[in-house]
Amino acid sequence: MRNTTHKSLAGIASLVVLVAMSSATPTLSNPDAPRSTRIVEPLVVGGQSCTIQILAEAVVCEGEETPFVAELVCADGLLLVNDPEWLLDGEPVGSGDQIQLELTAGEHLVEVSCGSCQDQILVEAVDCSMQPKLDAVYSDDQTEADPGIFLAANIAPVNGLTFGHLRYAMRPFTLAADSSVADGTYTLTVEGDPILELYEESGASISLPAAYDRSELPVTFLVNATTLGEADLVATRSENATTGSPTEDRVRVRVGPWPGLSGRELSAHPHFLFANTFNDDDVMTAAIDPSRHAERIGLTYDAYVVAQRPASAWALGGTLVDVTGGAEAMTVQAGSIGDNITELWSSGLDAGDRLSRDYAIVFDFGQDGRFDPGDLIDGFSYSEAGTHVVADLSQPGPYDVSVETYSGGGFLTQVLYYPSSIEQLGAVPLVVVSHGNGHAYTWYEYLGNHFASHGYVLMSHRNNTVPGIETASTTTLTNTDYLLGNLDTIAGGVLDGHIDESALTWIGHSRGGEGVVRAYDRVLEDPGLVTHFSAEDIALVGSIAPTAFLPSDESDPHEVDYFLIGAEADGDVSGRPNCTQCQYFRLSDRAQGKVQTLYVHGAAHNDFNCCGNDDGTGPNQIGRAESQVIAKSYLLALVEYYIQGNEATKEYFTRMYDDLSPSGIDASVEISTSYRELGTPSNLVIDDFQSAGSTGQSSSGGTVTLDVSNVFEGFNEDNDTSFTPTTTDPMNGMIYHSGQGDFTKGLIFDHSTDSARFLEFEVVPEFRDFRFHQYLSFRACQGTRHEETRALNGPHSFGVTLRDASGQTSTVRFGAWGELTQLYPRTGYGSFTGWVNEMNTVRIPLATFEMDGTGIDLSDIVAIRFEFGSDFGAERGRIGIDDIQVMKE
Amino acid sequence: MFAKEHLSAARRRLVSVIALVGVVATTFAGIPNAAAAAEDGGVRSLLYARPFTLEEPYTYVYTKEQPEISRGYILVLEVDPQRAQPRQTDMPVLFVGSRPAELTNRGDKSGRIIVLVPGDTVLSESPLFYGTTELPERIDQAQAVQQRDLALEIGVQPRPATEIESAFDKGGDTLAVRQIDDVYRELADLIEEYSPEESDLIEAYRMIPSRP
Repeated sequence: MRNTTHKSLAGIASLVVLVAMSSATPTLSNPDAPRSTRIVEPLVVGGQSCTIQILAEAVVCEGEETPFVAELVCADGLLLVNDPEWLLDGEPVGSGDQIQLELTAGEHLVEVSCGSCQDQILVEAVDCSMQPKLDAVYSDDQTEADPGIFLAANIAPVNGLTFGHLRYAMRPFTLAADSSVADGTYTLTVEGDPILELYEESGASISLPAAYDRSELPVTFLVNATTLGEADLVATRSENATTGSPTEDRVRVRVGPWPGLSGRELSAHPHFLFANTFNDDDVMTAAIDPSRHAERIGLTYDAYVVAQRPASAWALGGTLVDVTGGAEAMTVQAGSIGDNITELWSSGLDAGDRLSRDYAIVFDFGQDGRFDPGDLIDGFSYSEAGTHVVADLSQPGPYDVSVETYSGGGFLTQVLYYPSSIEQLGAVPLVVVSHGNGHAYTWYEYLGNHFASHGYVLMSHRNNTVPGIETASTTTLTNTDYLLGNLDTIAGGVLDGHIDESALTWIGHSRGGEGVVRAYDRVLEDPGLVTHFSAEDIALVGSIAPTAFLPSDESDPHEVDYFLIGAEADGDVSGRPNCTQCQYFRLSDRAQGKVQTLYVHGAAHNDFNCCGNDDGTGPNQIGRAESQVIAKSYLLALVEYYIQGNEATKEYFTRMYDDLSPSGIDASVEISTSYRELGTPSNLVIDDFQSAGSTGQSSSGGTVTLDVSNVFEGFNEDNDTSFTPTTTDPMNGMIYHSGQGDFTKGLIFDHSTDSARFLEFEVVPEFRDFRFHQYLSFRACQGTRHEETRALNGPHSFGVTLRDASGQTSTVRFGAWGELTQLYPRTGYGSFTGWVNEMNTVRIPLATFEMDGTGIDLSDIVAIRFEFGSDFGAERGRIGIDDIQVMKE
Repeated sequence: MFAKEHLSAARRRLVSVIALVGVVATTFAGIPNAAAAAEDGGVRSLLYARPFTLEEPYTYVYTKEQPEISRGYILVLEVDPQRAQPRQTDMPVLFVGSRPAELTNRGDKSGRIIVLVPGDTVLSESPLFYGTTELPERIDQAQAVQQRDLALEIGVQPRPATEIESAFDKGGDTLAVRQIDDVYRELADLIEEYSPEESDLIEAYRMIPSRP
């Protein structure tokens, strides 16, 4: 294991030393009380200077060790030669960035000097014996007061049945009294949002206010957070206090979104990207944000990667068994999350016997080899793991494969691939493949063997594609129905009882790719077309290089989860502007479910079968072998996620290709990926550009302001037959809409090198609380062949800024982990180079905006601002943007 | 049943064919303009013709009307392999007169296409040609007639009578079977003879079970 460090400031070098205080030290006084601070003449060296300031409370407890911290700020290039010297009431008491002083009752002058810079503070020491001592485990008094401790909301309601395991998500607290105090009543209350529950260690609920006699103290209890918000847990003692003596202690509890621990180290700000999936040839890293967990700064923990277990299983015991070869001790560093990235697993990540394995990450602050309440865990859930390791998805799975070819007459001719040991398996998912025009049902052996080796049944059938899409859809329907209706006889009945008939996947290629969409549309609208399944049983539909002959009311994926692979070097279904049936992205933009697309540079139409003619057109062609690695990897990932519910493979679709791609794909391959959810009501759709067709207003009703150039909002439609950019065709290169009832709209604009530009969306009041969501998502592309695109001649990225109601902002430049792809350099259909506008989905974890203590308030975001120019990414470009939403998952 | 007498009548009619020669190609309303650009229509010869009859009609899905067919022809055409190249888009439809033909093989390598056409087709009056790139299932009878007329106008003529005669001689007697699957099964041998590299299709047709 290792720690990685980032230098976060380029201008003023800041030395800020915060002190980890004893958790037994009581908090004193009002932190906002006036301080006596004097900034003296700073040291000046060559026109540059230093200043020093004491950080401490103005009122402290007599007789207790109290920390005093010197904050030294020097101009860039200056080094601290000597440690700061400290004086107490004029007498030297030591040196260093911090010092612990034990003060007697009364006022004291504390001074610090760096040489020519000095500061001083008046401190009053008082009797604190009457003050209750309320402390959270793994915390310190100063942070407990401000900004408070962080606690994640628990995953379920607590009751007698669930307490045994849900207590692991609670934070232990202790309420104690000074040893010199013999009596009195101590009362616990909660102020603020109604988000906290208290439990005894036995599981008994503690009703508030709760009163304890001195004789019952110390008492330990667990604090549970039920939802997001902020509250103060307050302990008070009201009897027999002397004047001026504090009688209250409080701990602020911040319950916020919990992004987990796992993620990817970045070479630039924001230094870390929270994520869950790792390839088995990756390095697994995790990080703790010292601003989120300020109370843990300076504390040491042991970092474990352990086998994932359901949250309920922790009730059986919290013993930690590290799978990486041993946990190592780390210390939470002040500063940036970049200073707190831990390499957990550097090589040989274990994906298990199948294609993925789930793990949890535990930061054991007790350092006792156990997961206990108060430790941090990524993976405390009933169903979702903390992190996943995924094998090379292009490699065969563990099962031997059997193949059976048979015919029920005419186009009811099929080849079946299934695990040879299927009789020992339960009901496995069925994948149906519908080929394209002039193709054969036997041409997808690579997919058949691949899926069957991973435990699926794949059936590829003769497809009647020559007459058209309607007939192709008919053969998809009839072949699926035939197989499901004859399981007792096909292949000797070996599949009977071994196919999950409620989780079917249809994958079609070219005309078959549109055919499966049409088949879904038909069976949805006319269930009587088939006997042995219904539209509800079709869980996933995928198209490889599909045609788009039929209008939107005929070839419509509706709400089914949908996937599309486009091939950029396709010489047939090419996406060219003068061929509406070639504009495959119309299908994916009609879909209303979860939609993912993959646009593969250099892939040709027939690379996705064994034997079709080579129609590849364009440069840098990747060939059949590589294209099939891509198809095997992504299609398996797709079915694993949507059909098997394997969360491990979801991020191959939701993260940018630059950020995560299946490990079997050659590093030279370029792919643009998009992911969007139109039918998820819990998402906050800021602007989908489908309504309020003005550039001044979003579809959610908010104001849109901008100073980018040549703005156009409207159909995502290239309205002529050429890819040559013209002023009359602002959506040049967009093949997402082309008449026939399509509806997709978006925004396009450009920015040049003259200055930074912006595009800002007001967040309407009902959408402003982002805390219950995880991602800010949008899809964006470069505008093909535009002069700004040509001038940039590379990938593009920009900055995204959130602004809260108080004016606090936080900016994330997504270029740190991925960029909008440079468009495939294909020529033809006009002047210049570049092909279809490639949508890339950018999903930014909202936690990224909070990192390093930006102070952004995710509960009240008033604006989302896209910022363009060299300070934020690419210096120039032509950008299309669509589907700006805040996503729940 | 498609009687021998009908066949003889068809042979007689082809002798009286009047060739239409034209050079104008216009655009069909609703159909992309793709009338045959060459006078041979992309079809070089008729190699084989055999009538078939069915006891159980089948739905002919290569036209919008989707008629029920109980008799037709099996034809083997020698074509321009380039035109036969299977495509997903811009794939020209092979017409036999005013009927889009049912393709039963690819033929792009051999240059031989085996097709089925409904029995109401008069071969002696029917130009064989590659036409519009519209999907066959969306072409209605009026549009198909328009395609035929266009072909005739630009000079695509029905195959010579002697060629048709020879093709029928090659095809032999009417194939009288119960259902279309019985015809498809017969196609395996034809593909093996005329386009033998299409082994996957040969196997697929041979696999079709015969039903009692």
